[in-house]
Amino acid sequence: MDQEELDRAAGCRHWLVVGGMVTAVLLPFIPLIIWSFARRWFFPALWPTEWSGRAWSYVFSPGSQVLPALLNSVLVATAVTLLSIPIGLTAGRAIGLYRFRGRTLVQFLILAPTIVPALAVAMGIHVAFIRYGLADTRLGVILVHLVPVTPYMVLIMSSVFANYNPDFEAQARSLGARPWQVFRFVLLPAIWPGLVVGSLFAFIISWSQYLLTLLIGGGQVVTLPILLFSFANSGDNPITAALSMVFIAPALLFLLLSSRYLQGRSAAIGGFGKL
Amino acid sequence: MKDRLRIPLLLAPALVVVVVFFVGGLALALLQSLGYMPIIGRYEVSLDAYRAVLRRPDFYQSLLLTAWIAGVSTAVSTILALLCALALRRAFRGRRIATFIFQLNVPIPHVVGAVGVLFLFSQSGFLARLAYAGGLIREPADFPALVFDPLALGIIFEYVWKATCFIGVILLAVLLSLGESYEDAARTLGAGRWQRFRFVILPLLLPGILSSSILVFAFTFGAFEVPLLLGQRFPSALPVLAYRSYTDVDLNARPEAMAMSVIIALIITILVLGYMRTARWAAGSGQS
Amino acid sequence: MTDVTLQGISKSYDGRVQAVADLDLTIPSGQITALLGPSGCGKTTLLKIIAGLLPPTAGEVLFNGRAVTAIPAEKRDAVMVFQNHLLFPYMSVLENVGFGLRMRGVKKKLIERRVAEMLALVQLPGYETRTPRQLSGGQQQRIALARALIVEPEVLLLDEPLANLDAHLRDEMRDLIVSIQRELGITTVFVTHDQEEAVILAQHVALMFAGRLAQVGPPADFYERPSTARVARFFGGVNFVEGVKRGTAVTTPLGVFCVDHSPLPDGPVLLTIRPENVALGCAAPENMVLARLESRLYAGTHTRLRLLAETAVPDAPPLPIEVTAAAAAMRQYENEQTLKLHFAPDHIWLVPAD
Repeated sequence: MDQEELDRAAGCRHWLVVGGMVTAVLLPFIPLIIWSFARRWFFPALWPTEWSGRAWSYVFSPGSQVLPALLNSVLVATAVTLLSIPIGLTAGRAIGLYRFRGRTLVQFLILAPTIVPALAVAMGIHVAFIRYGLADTRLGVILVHLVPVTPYMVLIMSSVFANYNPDFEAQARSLGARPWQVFRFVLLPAIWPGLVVGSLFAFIISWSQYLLTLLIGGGQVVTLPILLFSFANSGDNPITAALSMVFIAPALLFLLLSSRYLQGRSAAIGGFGKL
Repeated sequence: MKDRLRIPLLLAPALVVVVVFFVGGLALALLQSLGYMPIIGRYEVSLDAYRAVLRRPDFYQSLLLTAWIAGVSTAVSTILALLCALALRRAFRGRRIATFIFQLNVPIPHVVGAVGVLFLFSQSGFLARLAYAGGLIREPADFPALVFDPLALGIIFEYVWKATCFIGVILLAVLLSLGESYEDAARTLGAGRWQRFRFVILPLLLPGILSSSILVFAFTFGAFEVPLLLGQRFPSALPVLAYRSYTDVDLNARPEAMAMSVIIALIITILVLGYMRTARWAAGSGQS
Repeated sequence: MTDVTLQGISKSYDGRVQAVADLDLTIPSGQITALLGPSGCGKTTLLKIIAGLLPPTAGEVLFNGRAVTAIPAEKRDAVMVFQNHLLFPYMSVLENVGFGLRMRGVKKKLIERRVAEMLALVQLPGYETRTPRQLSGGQQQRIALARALIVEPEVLLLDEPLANLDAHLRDEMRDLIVSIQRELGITTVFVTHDQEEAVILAQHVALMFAGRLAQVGPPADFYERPSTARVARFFGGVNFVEGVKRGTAVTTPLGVFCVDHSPLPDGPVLLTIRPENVALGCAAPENMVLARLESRLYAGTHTRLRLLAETAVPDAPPLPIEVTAAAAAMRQYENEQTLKLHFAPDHIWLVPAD
């Protein structure tokens, strides 16, 4: 029947799309994983002719550059995340709960770093950072990472507060709760999922930064992406591959954690789509 | 807390970050592009740097290449994202795994994606070896140049690889929150599958499509890491060109580097604003 | 004029949850039929099956004896109007109402003419250029109705058409639906959980519980001749007395009652009488119940009385009886604590024992 044929064709197309998507997403990871365990793998071999754990042992050995870079990345990303929380909470509350004059302008301003590329900003601010002794320091890198992180944190927290009912706070206060109690027992539990998601975003964004760290850190502050880049350019494929895997570990953790808090109809992501 | 003070106080931390670092950085870049550089004792302001940049042929070649990369990446990833989001919204066996894989590369940094693309697409890369095994080529040079190539195919692939999932996840969230009701209403009024897509799904998705593809365009135009790793030396993408001028030993090249980055920022801002205005006009007139 | 027949319709999900179970129903052509029932009883599922939006797990749907089960919703001549109207938010009223005709390739000029006709029919002439956002709830409902009627469907399906409206809008909408339906003669089916809505709108009611039909017939049947106690309760019947029937007499703990002829066989039955049909004061000893006043609730036009009647069974709790008395009738008994109630034989109805 006509309808059946249409349905079957649609079903074929469906599996083609899903299959194609899954293959395309997973494909780049395959040579990456294999290379990290390879010793000799020349063209045209499909499998490495010699395997070795050399790359991995290098990555985890205390003498290599990897551990200090890893430490730097963790320190910087954590500091950026912690700093971004009060920033996102306060601005998010203002934007999500209140309709004030200039709200659109403020939103536009705060979201601007997602559109305008970091290049001009980094190059421009570098001079000032040199002047104030922030260049080539971890603190400088942390501060400049706040630029790409803030818009996402504020966006997510605004979305959370838009769905938040402030009457709960009024109720708590009329029952005798003091401000810090209201914060701890009413506000925090209500916004907790959004806060976790925002923090994960902030961490990943800071973790992945290359240009900002390169320019402001000046080669003195070496984080994982900086190291990864130099290994990639050096042509040492096994170490590059192994380092890449270490680098994406938090990203995968992020996925596992956020899938608990983002179930399909997430307000944060959906809010994006209604910008 | 005084009511009138409350909102400005709440907004203060975020605004400080944005105004001091972001706007400040842009302002300083603008100043330096105009030649104002106290470090080397230059205090006059002039448009010399811009004139110099706009006279360079390699600037235009880079501009063209960057526009090409951004345009193709955005267009292809938007279409693919739409297809994937539509395919993932109804229930089917293995849907949870497929959706999980779809979200997989969103938090993966671009640098890693670029490395993966390098290993995959280079002339001695994984795909080349598969081609050899399939008897299609005999030596690496036979495999088409997909990285470090004039068409920037490797770069485009990496951007499409990431952007498709980024846009797709957003569209999927919007689709799921809309549900099937509007389509049901259209069905009983006689709308077939294609008509439902054209008159119901697409218009409802349009805001999401526009906002996410704008982000992708702005990013792929102004991003630096992927073209640095996967791109040809010459012509290189505009951000790479600007960076190279910046790190030039000759400090006098700085204003030109700044000028280039300001021009990049300006182009993106104008294009994005124009895009948004057209989108608002198109949505407002009720046509799709 | 199309009648709809449902034969053996079943709908289950994942082989476990059964929304509709082996249902047979004939919906008469040219009339308004209500699918009534508590939430979760399967009525909306049934409506969607008639519309073609959901395929039945088993059974056939017939329009005028023609099987339409295999025909998908977009090709079936049944149009559904949803509870939240679902006007396309990015289209004007003109584009919304004209949507069905546009899908069929009708020319623009003709669409404009037909839309004007429809808007006049739903009493919103000249609204073509407005957008859904600019309309009130009642107006949106009427535009949704116009959008459905413009394609001249054989069957009109309405999902809770009066649910989102406040009191006087309900009456307006109800009058509109009834007058349009009478003018166009379309077979109309609507779904509701409110028995009052069913009764004021429909000529034919099908009551469902848990995926099955409990009773089908004109609205009056449900008040005067409910088939079971559950049906009676759904329509507000509250006075149930257990008894044993023998011929036209029913023996109960409250005494022996004379009843009219009932189709039920002799044996255990439930005797029921509606609160508004219990008479205050009783001259003769037959069908009399003596009851103690427990509470009274004055409700303006009437008074609701709650009484307790002692039963002949020792140590058994007294039976609660509810009476709705008109204000005038109450005046006599203002200060009485014990009342004589009369269960007239023609007001007593028997249903099978639970």
